[in-house]
Amino acid sequence: MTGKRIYLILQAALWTLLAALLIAGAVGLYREGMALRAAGDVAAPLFTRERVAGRLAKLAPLAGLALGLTLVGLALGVRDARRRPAACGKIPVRGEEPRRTARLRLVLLALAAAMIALGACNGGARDVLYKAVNICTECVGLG
Amino acid sequence: MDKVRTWWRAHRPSTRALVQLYAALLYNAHLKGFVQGEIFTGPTKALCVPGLNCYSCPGAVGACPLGALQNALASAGHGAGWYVLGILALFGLALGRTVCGWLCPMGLLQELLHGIPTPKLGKGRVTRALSWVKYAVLAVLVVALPLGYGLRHGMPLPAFCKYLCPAGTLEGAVGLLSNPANGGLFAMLGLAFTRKFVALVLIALACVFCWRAFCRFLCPLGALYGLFNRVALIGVKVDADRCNGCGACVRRCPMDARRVGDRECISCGKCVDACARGAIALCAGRAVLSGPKPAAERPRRARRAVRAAALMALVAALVAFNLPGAPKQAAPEAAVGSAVGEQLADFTLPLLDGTTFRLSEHRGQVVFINLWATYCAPCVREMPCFDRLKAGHPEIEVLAVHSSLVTEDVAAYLADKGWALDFAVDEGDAALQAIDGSALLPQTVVLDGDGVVVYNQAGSVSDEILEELLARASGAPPA
Repeated sequence: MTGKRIYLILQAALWTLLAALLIAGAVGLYREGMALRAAGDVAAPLFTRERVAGRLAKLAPLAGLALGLTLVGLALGVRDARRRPAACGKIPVRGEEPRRTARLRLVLLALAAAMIALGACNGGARDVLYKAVNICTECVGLG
Repeated sequence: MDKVRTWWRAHRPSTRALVQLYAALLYNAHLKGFVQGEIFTGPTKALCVPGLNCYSCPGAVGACPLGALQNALASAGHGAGWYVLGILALFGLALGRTVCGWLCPMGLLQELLHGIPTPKLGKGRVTRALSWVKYAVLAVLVVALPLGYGLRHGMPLPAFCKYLCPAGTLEGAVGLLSNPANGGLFAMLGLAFTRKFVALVLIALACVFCWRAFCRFLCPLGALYGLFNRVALIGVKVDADRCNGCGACVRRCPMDARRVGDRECISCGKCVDACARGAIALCAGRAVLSGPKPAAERPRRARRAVRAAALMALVAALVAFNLPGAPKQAAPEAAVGSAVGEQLADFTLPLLDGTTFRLSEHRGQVVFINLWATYCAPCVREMPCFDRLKAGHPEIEVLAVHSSLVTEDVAAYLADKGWALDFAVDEGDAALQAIDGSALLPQTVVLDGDGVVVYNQAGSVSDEILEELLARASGAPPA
């Protein structure tokens, strides 16, 4: 096994370990919070900035090592350059664009423009604006 | 010097990478949002951007097309979806999956992750089969669940945003949480965040080993644009007269395309470089944008003009979206404010039953103020909890304040709900200003008998939490 191969495998192991520790950290914090709630403090936050920062601080050395090794590898141009066969068989290609495609595109474009105009008139644009500026916390992973 | 020049030639970013970076910057031009920890609330958010970019990102200046589509489908009963469908069709017809390859911030991020030197997984039958999963995600999480839930329960369930979207977790949740000004948001994190964070980490790890794993296997926006690839104006085209069918293009293709320009093709242009016969080019209709033409034939002036215009547009956007806004009104007295321990400023709101609510008239009572909206599913779900609280404790006051952004008749919406609470629409944002409300829903404020804030937090509550807050506000032990 060459040094390059060892480096690539080490990198893979480091990043996988980092991901596993991140997941374990998040799940661990959630379980700790739930335990607090089960102990009687029903309004206790499951996550706090301090506890999250504490977990992240523990992962910082590993993240630094993985990032440092990555930068070294990138600077030296190390990469997995093994050739792999494509399992796609013989390739049919597209010829010149048929006229009906261009016509279909025009019709669909007109339809899309009409839909936008209709939507702008019936309050669709306003709805998009309102829901984009008043964020539902649960929907973005908070809450 | 020559070595440096050679290294730079080998490592300099491609035109496509620069365009991806440009698009990411343009979509997130509200840079001061990252500093202040607040999302942009200007009128440009009525427009959808072509790529996957969460509108809860502090920098986002446009709406996410997938988030907008799910919300529109959830409101299908009100006929609000035409606008979003029209915009998506327009992007699809103009660009197809060229959006994925050139204009998607998540695409750029996935390619950066794939740049980490590790052993890589190639493409094959398994990845080809997995590429169909994104159509199932599109059908179930983006269309069926939001549409079905909206029609059945009358409230939105943007299932893709809620359960899977890594852009929402990374740009929205992590983007907001990473700002010290949003320390209070940590208190609302729960199972939803844990689940989505795990999904984000797994997707990121998959992208390290597998080229654009999210884009190829899970992204419903790519699946949607892929349906337009055959008729899209801009895309990679093959000159059939020059092509000898050697297949070098598809062997080089990092996606799961079986032929140039099919539903999986993101017009990344790797096939253009791979074709020894110069048969492939990135075209807009009949015009060649990037291809095998000799350099001398290319309209250099036009290219320079386009680059200069694009750069000026970006600079203009960065300046316009980051100009200092009007300063927030200072609190009239030092002791008055919306933080825990401070006295909430008095405000008056007309209630939907025709009477008026004045906060100062409720001194001596514990007051719960809930900010909600009809289109916010967690808000609607927790409303019965407030109703039960009020029924169990008639001596307290519960005021439900609908956001000033009204998408339907609130009174008509409430008619058959049977909630015996005081409802108001915050037309002049009086309540929002008094409690220093954010753009995040739902939000609950609890005041003790002296009008002092004992709780002010965005996020959902439950029966148990409300009872605990009531006990805290009335100074009694919880029941």
